[in-house]
Amino acid sequence: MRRTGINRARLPRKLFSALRRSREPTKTPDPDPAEAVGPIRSSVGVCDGITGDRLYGWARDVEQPDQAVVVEIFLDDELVGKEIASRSRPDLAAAGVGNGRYGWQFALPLDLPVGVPIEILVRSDDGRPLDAGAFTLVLDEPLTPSAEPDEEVAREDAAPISPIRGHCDGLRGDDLYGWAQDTEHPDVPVVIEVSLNGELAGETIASLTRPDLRAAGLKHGRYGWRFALPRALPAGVPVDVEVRIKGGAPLADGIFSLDFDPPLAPEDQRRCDAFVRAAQSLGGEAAGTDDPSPAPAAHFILHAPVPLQAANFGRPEYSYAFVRQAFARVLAKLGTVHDAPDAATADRLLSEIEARGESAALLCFAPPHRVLAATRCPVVPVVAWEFPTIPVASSADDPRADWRLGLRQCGRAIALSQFAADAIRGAMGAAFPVAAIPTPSWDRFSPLYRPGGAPTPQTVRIDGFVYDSRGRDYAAAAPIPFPPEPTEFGAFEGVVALDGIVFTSIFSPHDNRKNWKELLIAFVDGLRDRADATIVLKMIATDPAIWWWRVHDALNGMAPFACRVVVLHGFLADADFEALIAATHWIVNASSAEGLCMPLIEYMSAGKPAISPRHTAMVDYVTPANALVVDSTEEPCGFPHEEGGEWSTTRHRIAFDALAGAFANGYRIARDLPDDYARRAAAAHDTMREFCSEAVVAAQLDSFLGLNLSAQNAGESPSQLMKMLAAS
Amino acid sequence: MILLDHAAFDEQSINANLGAPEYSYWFVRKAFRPMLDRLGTRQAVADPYAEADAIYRAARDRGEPCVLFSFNPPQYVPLGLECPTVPVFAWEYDTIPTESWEGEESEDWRVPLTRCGAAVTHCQSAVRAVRRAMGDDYPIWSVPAPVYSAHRPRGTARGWQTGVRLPVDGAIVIDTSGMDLSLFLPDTMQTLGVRALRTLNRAMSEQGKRAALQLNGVVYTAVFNPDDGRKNWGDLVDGFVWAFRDNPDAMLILKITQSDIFAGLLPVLSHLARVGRYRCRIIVVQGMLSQDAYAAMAEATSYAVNTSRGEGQCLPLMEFMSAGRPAIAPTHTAMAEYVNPDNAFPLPSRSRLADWPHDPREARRCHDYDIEFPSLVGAYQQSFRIARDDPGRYRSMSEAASIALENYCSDDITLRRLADVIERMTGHRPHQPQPSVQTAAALSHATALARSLFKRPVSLGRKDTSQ
Repeated sequence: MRRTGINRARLPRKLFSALRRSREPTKTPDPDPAEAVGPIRSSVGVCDGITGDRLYGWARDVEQPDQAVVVEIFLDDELVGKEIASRSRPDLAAAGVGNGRYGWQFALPLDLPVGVPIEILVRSDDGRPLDAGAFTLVLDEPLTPSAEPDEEVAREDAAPISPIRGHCDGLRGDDLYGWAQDTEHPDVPVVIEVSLNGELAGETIASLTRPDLRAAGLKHGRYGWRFALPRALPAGVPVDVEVRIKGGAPLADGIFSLDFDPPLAPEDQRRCDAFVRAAQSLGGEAAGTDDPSPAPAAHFILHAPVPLQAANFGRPEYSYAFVRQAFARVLAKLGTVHDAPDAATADRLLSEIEARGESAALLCFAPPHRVLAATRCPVVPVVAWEFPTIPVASSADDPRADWRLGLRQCGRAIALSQFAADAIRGAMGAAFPVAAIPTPSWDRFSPLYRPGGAPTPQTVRIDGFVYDSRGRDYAAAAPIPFPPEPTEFGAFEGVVALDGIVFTSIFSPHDNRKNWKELLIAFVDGLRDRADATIVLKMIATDPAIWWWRVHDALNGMAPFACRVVVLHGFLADADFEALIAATHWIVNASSAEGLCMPLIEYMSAGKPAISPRHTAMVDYVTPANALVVDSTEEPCGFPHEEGGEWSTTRHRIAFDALAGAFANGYRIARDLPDDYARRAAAAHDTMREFCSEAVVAAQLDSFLGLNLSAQNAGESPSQLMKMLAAS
Repeated sequence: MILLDHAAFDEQSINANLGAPEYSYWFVRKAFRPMLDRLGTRQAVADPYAEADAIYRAARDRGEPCVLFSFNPPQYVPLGLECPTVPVFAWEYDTIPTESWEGEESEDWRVPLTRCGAAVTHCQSAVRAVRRAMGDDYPIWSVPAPVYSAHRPRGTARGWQTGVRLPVDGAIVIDTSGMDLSLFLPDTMQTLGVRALRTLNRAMSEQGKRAALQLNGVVYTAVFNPDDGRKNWGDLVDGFVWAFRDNPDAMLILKITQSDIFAGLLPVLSHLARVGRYRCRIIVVQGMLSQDAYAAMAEATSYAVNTSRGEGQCLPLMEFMSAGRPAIAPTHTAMAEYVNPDNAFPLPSRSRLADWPHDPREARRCHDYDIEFPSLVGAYQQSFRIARDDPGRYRSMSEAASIALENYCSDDITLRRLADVIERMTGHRPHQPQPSVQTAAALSHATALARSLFKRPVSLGRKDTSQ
């Protein structure tokens, strides 16, 4: 299969004026509905192949799944037809791809010459080629018309769900690990569950990067999984372990008996204990353990629902897992932490705790409609939310879609920001007990802060690949090369040397709230001629195609420029993550709304001042002292879970000129005003200690879970637009 | 003095082409024609390459000066004629195209502008953009289309309407309030929505498209082509709904300048289907109105609304403000010259990187503007209160609007500046007509009174700094 680039300049000349700027249907004298489908921004799709005379496949707009994508078919660079991808494809529906009505097929001309290479290109009408959509066709014999093309194609593709292969590799530290791959849908991560002594202990997702798997030919190799065993496993008693695909068969070597911490010989045990005691007495921070306090009587049962639909992978819900992890560290200082994958486990733990005369609370790291409901435990939802109102609409089949129901049942909640706490009070009343407590991030990142020291050049390695504007040519309407296949990552040098003034932004390119294309354009606009200015975009995504075309569109439109754009695609090991922080001058955010923004608070904890708007969660910690605040104004929007919904809430529009200006200003400060920069870095570091250090968060949790609550806000909406709405 | 005029669209094709990319050039040419008639002998040419030079040579042989005014964007202006040629074009960005693409040398506007040797545009921001590329001494004049005299106030403007009947014959009129627009949601827009519009169009064509609106309360009117993304009409509608969702006394007329009913109505109805239920009134009017009907619409309007990203002059806003309707509008680009706090609720805006709208390469080489949504909501709310509760303030804003537009685009200003252009091109200054009876009448009692009311002149007598 030969690859080919697309030359946009060869496309038919667009009409004068702004017709093309409209996202609405293009003008036609007598529009045929089939022709009038407008441009699509974010399509994905596949050209599956040829059956009879039919070229077929599927395509879908991930941002507007209800709008059919138009695919364009080119033979030898000539547009020969357009098809609407709206045919029913039961196999897609079965695989969880929306409603499955995304199929297309195109009848190739029956007179295509035999034995002559024909370049075939299939792309969606936003210019993006489908997967496997560019290839050279050489016919052995003339095409024959397909008899019943529709059924034929559909049947052929309606393959049954294929078996999953995988392995439990063993125990490392307290972690079980292994890998699993769905051979039929290799890009959809497999969910693994682990049971101990016949009881479900938890789940994990097989999506960790495993270079050895890649080397063994398992596509991109991101099929690894790891499962942390509970610390409370009794030593010396064998535990029956079963590792299986969720709801399915055990993995190879997935059933075994684990003898955790088998008894040591007395002498070995004594030496071991002596070492531990000595090590503890050396560390000043651990001095308190010399004087062991009685075991805390408080218990925290933690639950974070792993979204089971693999289609949700990379979605915002996943960040709840990170929040849970960070809170668990702090809660361990206040009491004993347990994990409960489901309500039954939570209730069993509660019974055991109560039997000892102690008490427990269940912390659900989930939005209120997804907290564990059928449990005896007192439940405290921990909610990340970025809008000034909460969902209060419900339907008969989903009454819990009205968040007030779940909140009322819980009776209290923890939000990650004051903004979200205000939103909850706005719906529940000013007296509703809700605390704003951020994820404790300061302690982990503050050691990276070098007081008064400037960021230093670093080499960053990534298990994935580095996209670097240096050495690439950009020009208006220049052809865009194809992105590397995940299997080709190994061929790229996953190493980048960063120097000069470095701006870093970390986000999922799937998340439209991040405004990342504007962010990139504003950087180039603000620092066009500065060869020593670099923006690093760390993309949290599996397939580079999600950002590749947009990055090229942006940079081609901005050419010529001297500044440097680096995209890091893949997994950063801790040391490289820290190297990236060490090289960074400014952490950048241009979001329209944030529930907390962990990259921002992590970098700021490490003493990196920010370029960021000051709205939603950022109001809690972004100040003119620790950041270059970017102007923004409010605008209405719908909730993300509502499809084409009405406005229920608001978000924020970033002022482009202010963002570009902040880049220029940030560059000047970092390069020419070292004292000014150092003051801002110190301010960032100090703000974060007061905001999200474990000590501060622990005190807040202690106070709130003990319900020593002081209401901070009288239930007034945090949104200017919402107040205007109320006034009119 | 022979004055030739040419535009890509002519009288016959404009109805079918309303909303097509260059349609506004036709309107501009139409507005300039009476001025050319007063400055010389105007003659329309359909094909300048075939006709212009013959007319020019004959005139030259008679010793009579001759100029061709080409109402077209510079890249489409005829080049290589013997007849002196002046492009007349609108522009709303801070830079002009200085690159060529697809092998078209004229896409680099420096080429046609250099060869023509002079040009006419409609606002100072466009003059600055041209001079930035062509040098400070490049002869270019800002000559706004002289719409004031045809639209000047007929009476005292009212902010609060009670039982006003507005005939809108010849157009499709959809009063969307309380209407189920779910047909136009994305999944059925292209099937059921198209079907419904086709049926509606057929039915209304059969009954002759006769309709009348009953207007009550505060009436906001916006005139735009929804195909033109620069109009930013989504904000305009959203801001209205945000400000007045449950207020039946607030009314928004969306006058669509797009002759194709599907291109004109589908995007607007689809947008309205997604803003949720509203009790304020939103009325969509699609089709070419007669001059009388259009004037009546302006008369029945309390405020003209514009939320554009940039305007070369904005004829509808100029027309409505000439008629004494205060505005809600940003103050960037051309609006900077006639929108101010005395006659409007100015909307703050921020500049953004943009591309020249006809550049297929989408290279980012210029800037346009983004309004701030909360300011728009605030302007709607404040303007409503003034129209309802403060007729005195409304009247003074109305008078200030009319005065500002008289100062921007009166016949006198146009005549004087066009005379400058013609003198530059031919070496002969045309006979400058005295202010016509119409123009003198424009300084009517109301206007004179209004002037005396203000302590300071209201953007009076912007100096002609274009040349």
